[in-house]
Amino acid sequence: MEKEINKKTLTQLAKGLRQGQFSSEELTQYYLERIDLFNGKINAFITVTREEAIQQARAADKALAAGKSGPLTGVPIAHKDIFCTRGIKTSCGSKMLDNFISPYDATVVKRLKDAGAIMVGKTNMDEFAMGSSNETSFYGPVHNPWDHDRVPGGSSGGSAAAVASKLVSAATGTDTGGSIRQPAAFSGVTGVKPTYGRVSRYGMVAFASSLDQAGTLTQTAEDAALLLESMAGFDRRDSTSLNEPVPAYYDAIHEPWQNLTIGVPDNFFDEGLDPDNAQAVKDALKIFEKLGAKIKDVHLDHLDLSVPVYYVVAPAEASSNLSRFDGVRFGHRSKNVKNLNEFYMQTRGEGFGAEVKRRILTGTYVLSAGYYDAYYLQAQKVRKLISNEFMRIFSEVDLLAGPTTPTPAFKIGQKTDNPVEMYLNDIYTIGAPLAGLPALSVPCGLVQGLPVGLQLIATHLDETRLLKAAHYFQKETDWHLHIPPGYDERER
Amino acid sequence: MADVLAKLSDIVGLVSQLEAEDTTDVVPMAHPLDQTQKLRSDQITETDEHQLYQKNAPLVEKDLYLVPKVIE
Repeated sequence: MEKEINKKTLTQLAKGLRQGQFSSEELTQYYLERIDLFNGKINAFITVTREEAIQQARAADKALAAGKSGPLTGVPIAHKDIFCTRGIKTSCGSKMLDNFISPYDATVVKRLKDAGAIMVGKTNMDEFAMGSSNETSFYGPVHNPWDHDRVPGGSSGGSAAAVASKLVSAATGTDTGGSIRQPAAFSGVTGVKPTYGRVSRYGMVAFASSLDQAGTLTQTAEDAALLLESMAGFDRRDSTSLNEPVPAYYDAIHEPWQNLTIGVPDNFFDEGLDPDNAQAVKDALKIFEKLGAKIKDVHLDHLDLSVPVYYVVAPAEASSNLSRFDGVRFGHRSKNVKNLNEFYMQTRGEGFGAEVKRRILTGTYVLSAGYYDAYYLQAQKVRKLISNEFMRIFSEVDLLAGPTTPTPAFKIGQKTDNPVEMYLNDIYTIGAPLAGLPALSVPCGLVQGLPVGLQLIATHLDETRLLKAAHYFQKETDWHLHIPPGYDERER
Repeated sequence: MADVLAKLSDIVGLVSQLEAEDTTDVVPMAHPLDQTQKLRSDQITETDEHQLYQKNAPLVEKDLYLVPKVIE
């Protein structure tokens, strides 16, 4: 087994396997060993599927030897624990589903399995994906590999930390208000949230169904293209999945550079943005200018309202979606209850954590008879205004660019006492899902030793342009190649 | 309890910012890509797998999910 496998990208690993540089079993064993060595420090995994992974790897080696390989045959990846995995615990970071063994595979899981990927485990996450710091998980917080006292971001924090620390070369995630892009920025990896409906939500535990979208956490945009190509596409089991052909993303991003106009919202750079973080993003924009892109100032009139809109719409949908967790058919059930009322109250009282309860209460409040028009309906109207504004801007520019987050990763515990402060941290990432737009975050610098991200947003179904811009950016920069201190060399 | 209420009040305060926006004649968003609900043909595509699904159930008897007594 050659050295420094941990420096190889998903794309390089897939190629190495096809060329016989190493076997899938060797590779899988390598990553399982790294998980054994490092997961205790960062808590990125809820479940490690050792035996299944080795079995799958052996089958992959046979397929490779027989020349029957798919694009991802033999490459170890991890799934966020929000995706149902047949015969394997799917907890969604909650006590409510701590005992839930999924009877089926999510479409994302099935498609990646069909493409040949090996699942080494399920990653930690904020409970029911509700959080921006991975501190709401029933299984304890994930620690940022760049600084163990800091959060990795959330809710796909386990996936981001696992990829950043090279415990796996790629992982799936989900994004409702920034849950792929924000942890990608905080952990120094590439995070892609596709267009709403691009990837099937079947088997993905529902949080806010009009916003939820599955995506990728990888080292490079090239890796994301490779992974997304296998994940995306119509699924008859998800009535909101888009019946549109999936472009050959991987080939498309390697085509020659075409000039584009990049819009930069001036109010992304207001006083809430850390000055060093701002500088890193401005330096990134200069790279695009060097490539020949035209930078154009734009303004998002409704930026400040995107957080309030999100914190009406998302909790409203969550309060409805989470009503299924009642302890009757699956999941946690309270013991020693006298009647049915007590049964529901205690089951849900014991099974959900504080943040989930807050969102259910907020959701039921904004949907209640007297407040529905003032909150929920008004939020959906303002959401339309936000969406119209994006559409107007995309008639003038090809991409939007800005910071992914206002600051680098904050300390564990720093914002847990103030939910609103935590929510406001999502300001730059919330707009894209409200309008159903694809967006990504790529590493664009280090601020006091911590990674920060550049966010790119495209119009509906324009993932190719988004990934291609990120790929060309990564050809000019090396921020995506940095490895957190202590995770660089394999400790034997 | 006071802490719970304070945090919820803060959240209501945050979302109340929406009231100030003029949304006269704005049609509320129904779908981010303006898609309508698709209809599928009226055919059986899934088979009965209740025994598999009920493996996750805390309490089952004769294929039925059990809950505490509802009518005394």
